[in-house]
Amino acid sequence: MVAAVAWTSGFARADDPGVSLFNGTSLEGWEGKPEFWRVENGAIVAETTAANPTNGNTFLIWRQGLVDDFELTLAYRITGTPNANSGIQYRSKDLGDLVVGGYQADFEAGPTYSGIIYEERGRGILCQRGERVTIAADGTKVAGDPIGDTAELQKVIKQGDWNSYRIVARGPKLQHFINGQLMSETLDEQADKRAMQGILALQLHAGPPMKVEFKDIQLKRLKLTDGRKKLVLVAGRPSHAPGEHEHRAGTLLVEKCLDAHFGREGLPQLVTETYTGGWPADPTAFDNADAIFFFADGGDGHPVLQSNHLAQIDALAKRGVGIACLHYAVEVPKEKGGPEFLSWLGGYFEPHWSVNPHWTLAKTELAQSHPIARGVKPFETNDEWYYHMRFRDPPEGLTLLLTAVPPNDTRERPDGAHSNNPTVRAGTGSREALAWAYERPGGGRGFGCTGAHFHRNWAHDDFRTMMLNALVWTAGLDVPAGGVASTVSADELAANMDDKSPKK
Amino acid sequence: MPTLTVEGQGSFQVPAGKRLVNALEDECGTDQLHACGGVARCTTCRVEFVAGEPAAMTQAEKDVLAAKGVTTPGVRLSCQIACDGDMTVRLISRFEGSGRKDSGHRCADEIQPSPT
Repeated sequence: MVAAVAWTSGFARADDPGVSLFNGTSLEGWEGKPEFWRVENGAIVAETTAANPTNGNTFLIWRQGLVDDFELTLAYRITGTPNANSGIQYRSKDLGDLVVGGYQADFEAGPTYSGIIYEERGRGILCQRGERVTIAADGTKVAGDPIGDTAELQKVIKQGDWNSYRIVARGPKLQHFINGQLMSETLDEQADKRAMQGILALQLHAGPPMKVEFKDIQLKRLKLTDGRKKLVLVAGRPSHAPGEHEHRAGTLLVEKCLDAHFGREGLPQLVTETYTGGWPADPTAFDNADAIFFFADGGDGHPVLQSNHLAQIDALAKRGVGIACLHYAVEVPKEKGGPEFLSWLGGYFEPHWSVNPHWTLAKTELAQSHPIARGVKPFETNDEWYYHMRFRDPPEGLTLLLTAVPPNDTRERPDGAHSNNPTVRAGTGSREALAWAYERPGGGRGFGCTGAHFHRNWAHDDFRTMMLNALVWTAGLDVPAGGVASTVSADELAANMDDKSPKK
Repeated sequence: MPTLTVEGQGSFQVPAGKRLVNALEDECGTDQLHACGGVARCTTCRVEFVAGEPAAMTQAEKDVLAAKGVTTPGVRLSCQIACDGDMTVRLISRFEGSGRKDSGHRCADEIQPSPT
């Protein structure tokens, strides 16, 4: 399991530089205007010339993920006029047409701005070089102990040559270092203006001709502090007919509801990040996750069974990262993934043991004492409610959250890997578990739910509340007394559906 | 790169030589009026300089300030000024509260009419 170590950099040693976001040969994973951005000699190069100026500031955006709490290091070199200016955007907003607004770790060819924090398209200069500034809730800036004299700090910077930039963003505290020297430190307490999560981008400034180069871009995600948790949601690829297995639409709806509950502003207890289209391209996707949610096709094609993912997720689970799986994502082959699923979430769909009929819940019972049941009433939705899961034996740590009695005709189908088997047939009239929660003996939580074949069921308040509660609980947070309240409009329900029209 | 400070708003980096009226809109995110579209006709783009007022003035600015009787020291037309150095200005002619339907047409990148 040596290979698993590198994937867990969120928990890695302090001297771990992180994971590279630039392969040295192409702009894979990044997007910018091709007339300005290229790769040359192992570096990302952006250039304006008299013949090819940019009208406004333009950016190269990292498209593989968002950043929240992190350390980023890179090398930069900036040349051109003394006014040449660039910077590294983080926790920023994509304003369209490759324009970005938000926090910027600034640097320039001249002697003034390198190391400051600038808010592009926002509050402007937040903290000058050499300063420690607290931005109060009302926007007032309060100076703390200075770091040093800005002219002295400039001497650390090699003008016209390569320099090393390091950004450390931890909750509201933002630090910029150049060549190892702290240049500015900002504590941003202006909750309605600050950002806790957003995109990463590199800047090419408008103005006279200039050239800026970047290389050795390394991201190390930092585990969230102050009791905050991070939930990473993974939506699988398009599958099934329209309205079924709507992995993307369902996952984004869940994220919307969680974000509405916890808020994107302030210091939200739960930070979410959704990756759609299957396994994330972001090599750091899970590095500071407290929990991971999979809503994707399972079986042999389960995202966690591809490549070396099983070992990666297993290493995270062993460190206490919660894992929640929904519908087909609860199924893996017995021989490949089965043992892991039993240890991660306490149960799973085992082919030739579990079954997948469509039916309407009846005589539903909820484990009312469990936090996930808070604010949830027994419900009766029609779905492809898989049942007869393979559970841990003995079942210590396992709570069967949602149970119901399937109609007899669901046990009368012909035998098959998913349809029926002698044990299921013999269980006529038995109560079956459809959602469960698991507390691992070594710490960490797991959750599985078999429904959600039909996207329409997200409109059902009790089903949705159970799912939102489950994700909050799996991430290690308290579930509010009345459950995680949410609303979903018809438009929201219809949003983000995968295009399943026939290929032309 | 000059710093443009707008009182009560913050300090912003602006490309050297950029038209002040456009920098107020683009970099500083203000709702500065410029009803005539930046051609030195209306004076709604006026700002009050707190620091860094440029000594030079275009002929068009001189003429329109005189014609409209704008004589307050430090009050200048942002459409007639390029950001060639650090400046601090106070907003005195904003869209908010003006009752107008918009701030005015986008001003061209270059100072108009051409400085003489």
